[in-house]
Amino acid sequence: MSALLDLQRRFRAALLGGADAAPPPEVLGGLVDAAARLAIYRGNVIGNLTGALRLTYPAIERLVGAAFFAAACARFAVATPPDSADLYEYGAGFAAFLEDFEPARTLPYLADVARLEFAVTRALHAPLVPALDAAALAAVPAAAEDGLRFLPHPSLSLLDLAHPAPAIWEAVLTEEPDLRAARLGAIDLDAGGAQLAVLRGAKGPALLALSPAAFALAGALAGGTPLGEALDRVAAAEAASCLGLLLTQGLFAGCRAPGGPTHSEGTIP
Amino acid sequence: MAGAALAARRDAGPISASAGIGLRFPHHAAFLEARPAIDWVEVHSENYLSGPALAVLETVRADHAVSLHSVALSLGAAGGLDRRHLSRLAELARRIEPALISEHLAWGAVDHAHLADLLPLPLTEESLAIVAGNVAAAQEAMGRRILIENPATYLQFSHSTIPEGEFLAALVARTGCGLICDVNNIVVSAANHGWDPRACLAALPAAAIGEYHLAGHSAADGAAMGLLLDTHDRAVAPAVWALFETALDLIGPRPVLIEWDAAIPPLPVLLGEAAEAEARLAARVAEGRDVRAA
Repeated sequence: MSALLDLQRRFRAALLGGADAAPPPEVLGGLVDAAARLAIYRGNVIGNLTGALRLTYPAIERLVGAAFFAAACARFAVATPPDSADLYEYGAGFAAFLEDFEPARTLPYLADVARLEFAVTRALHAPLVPALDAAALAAVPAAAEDGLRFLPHPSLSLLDLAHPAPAIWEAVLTEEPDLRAARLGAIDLDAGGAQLAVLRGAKGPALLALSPAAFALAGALAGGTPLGEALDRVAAAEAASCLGLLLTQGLFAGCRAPGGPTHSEGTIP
Repeated sequence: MAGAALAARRDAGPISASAGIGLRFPHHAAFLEARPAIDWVEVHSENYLSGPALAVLETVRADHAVSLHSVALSLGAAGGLDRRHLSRLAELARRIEPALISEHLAWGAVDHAHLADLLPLPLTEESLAIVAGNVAAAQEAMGRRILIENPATYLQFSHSTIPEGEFLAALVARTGCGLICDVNNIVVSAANHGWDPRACLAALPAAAIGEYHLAGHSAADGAAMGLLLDTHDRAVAPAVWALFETALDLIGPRPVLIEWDAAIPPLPVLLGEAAEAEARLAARVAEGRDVRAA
């Protein structure tokens, strides 16, 4: 192993090892000691990762308060640093982290709000790809329809939530304090969950509540199940209307018949 | 339609020795509204890889030259470059046709963990070989020369053997890369390590320098009291303006960037800093020095 790789691994361990983690012995002190010098980088790393999570999870920060949020982010960041250089992709595991985070146990809906916020960030920053035009399907020969596979729109997330996260999210991000309090007060936390498609709309994120049948169909198609097989999983009476809804709402970016070309509206990052 | 838009773009040629600003999200609306009379802007590439931010950058690019300045390529990574990130940066460059592409002499990723900061390298022959290999790989992926920025650092390693200026000069010699001379980083690092700022400037190979950076810094408190922090959260300090004048003496005029990344002021304040840099450049250009970027 190269000496530099070894040093970088030890440096990372010291950065993420908490305030008491000693710097690698190669770090020089001087006017200011080595631990205080390393602590500047530790503060930058935790601060930058917390900042990235703050951009993605503003509703979580409002729900738990700034100090609680910062502490949760610091714990999450050292356990789960980003695996991508693109920080918009950071924090996919934050909802699961919150679910297991003992101090957050009294807020069982928190993880679902986090799932919604991650989907919203994905919707806002995904490549600007046009949605599949339902008319493009007319070009598909009837015999090939059953084998058609769909490409999910890059801004799409499908969420199966147990708590009324969309109402909480919308209420807590209301800027005007009195209105925010009124909206939060009106929420029935036992109102149950929602099955949602989240994707980019004309003006920001679009939250689309789906019926159980439409949600099942969306999940099957987004997962690559051929159209015929996916439709067979839905009650026959609902199949056509569900498919029409998903197509007109822009859940897909393209489709491909077996052995045929991909129909799409272009690929713009 | 796309062809017409491209034809109307400012050309992709070099930036003149003029002042530009770091374009940040809070200024998008004001910038598109005001269309300030500056030739160029610099952005952090990672913030413009896709989505609406990329659309804003393409709109800005119609009238302005763009410098793509990445922060997360981790050129000092001993484990090699993140190929996915490199290809995304190359794709961004293909779309934007930037006048300049740059990164830092730093590392930020190890074992697929991205630490979201510009971390310091020991300046050794081993590091030089690793950074040179990564810079060469980046230049090959981009199909062009990139500029490498001297970092602001808060610590040094006992096994470093090469002074920073010599390290950067050797990197230029090995890879053909250019350099950003970040004047603020020199002031910060010199204060933090007891270096002579003028000697730091003089050690850089002038012909390789394609851009200056200017920014504000702050003083650390608590256990780190006595160190300067590269915070980019205020106006350019008098010491940085003074060293910039020395740089103009030693190196000559180049494109100069005002960076402001935290506590971001209204756009006119940033443009005022750029106008100050522009006036100092113009005084030198009037003296008849080389006005094109190296």
